[in-house]
Amino acid sequence: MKTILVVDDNEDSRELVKKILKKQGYEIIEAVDGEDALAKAIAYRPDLILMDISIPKIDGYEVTKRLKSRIDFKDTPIIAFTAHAMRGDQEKALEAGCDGYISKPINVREFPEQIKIYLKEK
Amino acid sequence: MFKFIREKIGNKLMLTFIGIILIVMVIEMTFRIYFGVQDRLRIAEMGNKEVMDTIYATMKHPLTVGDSDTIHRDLEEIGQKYKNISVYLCDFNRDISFSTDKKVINKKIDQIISSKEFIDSLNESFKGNGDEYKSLVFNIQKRRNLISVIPIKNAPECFHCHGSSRKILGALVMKTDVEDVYKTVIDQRNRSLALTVFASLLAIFVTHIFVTKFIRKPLNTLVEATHRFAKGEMPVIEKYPPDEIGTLIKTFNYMVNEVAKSKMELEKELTRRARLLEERDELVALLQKANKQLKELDTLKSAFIANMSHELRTPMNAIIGYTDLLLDEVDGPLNEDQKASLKKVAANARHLLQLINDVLDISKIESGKIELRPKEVDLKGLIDSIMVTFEPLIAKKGLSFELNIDNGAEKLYVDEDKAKQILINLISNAVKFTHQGGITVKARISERGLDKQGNPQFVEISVADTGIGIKREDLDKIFDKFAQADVSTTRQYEGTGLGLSIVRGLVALHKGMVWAESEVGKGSTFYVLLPLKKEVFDNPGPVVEEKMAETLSQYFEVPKEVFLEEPSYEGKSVRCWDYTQCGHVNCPEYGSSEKRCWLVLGTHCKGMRIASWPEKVEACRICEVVRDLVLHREPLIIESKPSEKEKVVLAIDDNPDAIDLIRKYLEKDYKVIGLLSSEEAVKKAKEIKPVAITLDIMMPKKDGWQVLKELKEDKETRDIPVIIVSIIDNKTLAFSLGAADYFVKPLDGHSLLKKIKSIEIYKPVKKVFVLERDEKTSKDLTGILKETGYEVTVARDSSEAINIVKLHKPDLFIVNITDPESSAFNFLDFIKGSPELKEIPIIALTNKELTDEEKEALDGRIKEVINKALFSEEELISELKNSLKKIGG
Repeated sequence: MKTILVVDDNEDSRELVKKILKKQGYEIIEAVDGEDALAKAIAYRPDLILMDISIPKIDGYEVTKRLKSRIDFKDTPIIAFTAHAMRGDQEKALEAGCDGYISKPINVREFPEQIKIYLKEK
Repeated sequence: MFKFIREKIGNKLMLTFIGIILIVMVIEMTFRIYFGVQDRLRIAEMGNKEVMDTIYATMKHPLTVGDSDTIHRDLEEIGQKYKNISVYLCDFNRDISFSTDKKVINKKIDQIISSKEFIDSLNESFKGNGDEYKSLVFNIQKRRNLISVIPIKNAPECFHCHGSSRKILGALVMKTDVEDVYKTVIDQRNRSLALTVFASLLAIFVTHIFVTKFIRKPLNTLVEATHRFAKGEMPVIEKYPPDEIGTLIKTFNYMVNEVAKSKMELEKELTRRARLLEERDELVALLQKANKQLKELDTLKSAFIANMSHELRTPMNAIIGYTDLLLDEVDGPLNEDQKASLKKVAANARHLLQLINDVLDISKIESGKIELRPKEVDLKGLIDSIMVTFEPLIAKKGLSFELNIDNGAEKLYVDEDKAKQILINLISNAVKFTHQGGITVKARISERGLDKQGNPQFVEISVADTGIGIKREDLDKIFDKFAQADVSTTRQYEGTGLGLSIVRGLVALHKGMVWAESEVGKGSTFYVLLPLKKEVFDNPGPVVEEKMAETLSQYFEVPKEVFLEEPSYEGKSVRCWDYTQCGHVNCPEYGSSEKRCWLVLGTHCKGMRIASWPEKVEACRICEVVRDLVLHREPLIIESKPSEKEKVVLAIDDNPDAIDLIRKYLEKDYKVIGLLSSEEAVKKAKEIKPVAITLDIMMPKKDGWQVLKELKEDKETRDIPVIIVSIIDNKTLAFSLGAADYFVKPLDGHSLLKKIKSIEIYKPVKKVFVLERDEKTSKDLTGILKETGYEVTVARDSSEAINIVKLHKPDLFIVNITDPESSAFNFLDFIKGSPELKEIPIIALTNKELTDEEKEALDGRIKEVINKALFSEEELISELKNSLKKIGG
């Protein structure tokens, strides 16, 4: 049973991801902002983090940076997950230490596959 | 020394005076010395002769009787009396017998006067040759002496002592010291010399005073004034002599005054210009401000769109996600109707998302926020990855797909994502608009955009389909934002209308080009040029297109180098790679914003579009520079054939923008043909027969005045009204040369349009319509008109007239307006209200003088009024003919 932390300030978005991934048999933890995300990541040690970039309090890049600077999160895949499709967002995310990038809107049929790949790669 | 003389008039004058004085004095002295001596010697001689004769006479007797004492005494007396005279009496042996000087007696006279010449002449005298009396000047002991000799002749009374055989017995010699004579002359010479020196000095002094007063001073004043004048002052010299120098000064004053006048005018003009410049600067500042604000707005817009997109995508994420989940029946089974509805929701949501994505892309391209990350990309791999998405649809539509990649074109050097986007857009269009047949994608090395060594740098990828095709006039619109070729297609073929603008922007970023060819019903081919080599991106500017340059050079008949030399633009050097302003002026479609023309590979006005730089990138205006380069060197003519129906106005101006403006004002009512070269004016006017000409004055090579003159001199063109539209204001000259009107720029377009409407040349009259109740008159008129070669239709009252002209549009109305029965005014009102007829000229016939009211009612509608009552039949005919002539029949 793999645990996935879904960080997103938009409830519908969280619900959608939860619905899809629950069906795949993952355990889902939700966080609504940067601080929440940091706390929950450290508390629950998820196997993968889906990180929305534009979230309140601390943005997704910063959360990723802080987590990636810790030795115990070095190998936890953090996937940027954002509606920003601007050129440079992907790079920024990778620079911040994200292991992958999934842009919204997600493709319901491909999404579980993408998650699987990131988890396998770990 | 010479310089000193050469450079001063005074010195020249002085030198001349001194020269003259010297020459005169030298001549005078020569004469004085020479003749002075001569004269004095002659006087001395004469004195001598007198003395000698006296002595000879007094001594004759003592000598005869041998009374030597008397002789001695006499001579002594003479010696005492004349200090400078010595007298010797010698025999023929030259022994001195008597003398005023006793010491020399018995000496040879040779010892006293030791001059060979004298002795010779003395001997001659003794022989009895020569004159009785001789006198000569000899130097004796360095003093000049006048020596006179009288030979003493033998006489019978002397025979007893001397015999009779000798003729001459001796000689009486008198030596006069004449050195003093010479000295006197020398003294005189010295006095003359002194006088000369004095005269010279006086000359110098007087000349100096004269020159200073009359020449140097006024000249110096003039020189100083000239210097001041040169420094920009306007000095006028108040005092001047009435001589030539005075004239010179007067001329100088005149010049100064003239210059001062023109300087004042110039200053006025300069102030005016300065004011204009200030105004311009203010305007420029305003424009810059506006521009800046626009840029800021633009940035804001881009930021806003980016933001909006993000905000929009978040709910889209939920919509699409949940719809898909429902469709996957995650939450339980759905019936068919629900499924169908949900599918519609999903499809629309996806379309909306695509729109959002495209808008985002466009705004990124336009705001220049896209940075390419080019690398080597395998073309086949790229296309294969794209085709994965399209294969199901292609299979479903039963289309074929073919891919041909030439050798050498397998690898591109591009930004992979962007190249993918470009090809996706092109292929998806091809698939979308094709219902049978297939799609062929080809790639080959392009011969365009070669590098300096002539090696290829670009790959030409073409996407050809056998689809519905694109209309020729739509070909250049399809790359615009939100433009699908045909509005009706938008419903049939869903699409955002942004795909091709994105393609254009992305291709331009790759310094490539995109263009299309199409035939309606047969299919379209889209071409893109994408870089093959890294070098394309080495230079920040656009790629130089040698081939394009060649094409342009042939097209504009200027050397290729014009397009290859680096024009500078806003201080940066730029190179022109695409030439988006092709045919800007001389294309038949010029002036129609929807049908802008483009020049590709020498194909003029084919509606192909070159990828230009995104509008917001400064470099996109590069080509304007080249256009100016071209147009300013070789003014072009707008080649177009006016159609039969349209009235043409010929606009002559060397500035295409000015023509454009006139076109904008007049295009509702006239076809405007622009002409950039004044030299062609008359030829062009004959060719296109415009109803009016607008003419600029300040043009290179041949100015407007010249053109106007030529137009008015030529039989074929002299009747065309010419309206001057110029920045300079010289109405007098224009009207004297025969201009119809004068507009000073900036142009008031509405007045121009009104003016042209009122003065345009009417087309030749063929068909005449007559409204005349009186049968005789209408018969007469018909007769006259038919005779002259017109077709005539006659009506007797207005309702009949209206019915006829509805069917047959004449070129001229002749209307009797004073016959109440025919209710001509109803007919006139009908004409006025009909757009077809209202421009046709009218000749009014009257039976009486018109009242003011009637005149007012007619105002502006009637070209000519003929009062039948005033004319006899013949006069009426000629009057009518005149009127017809005026109107253009």
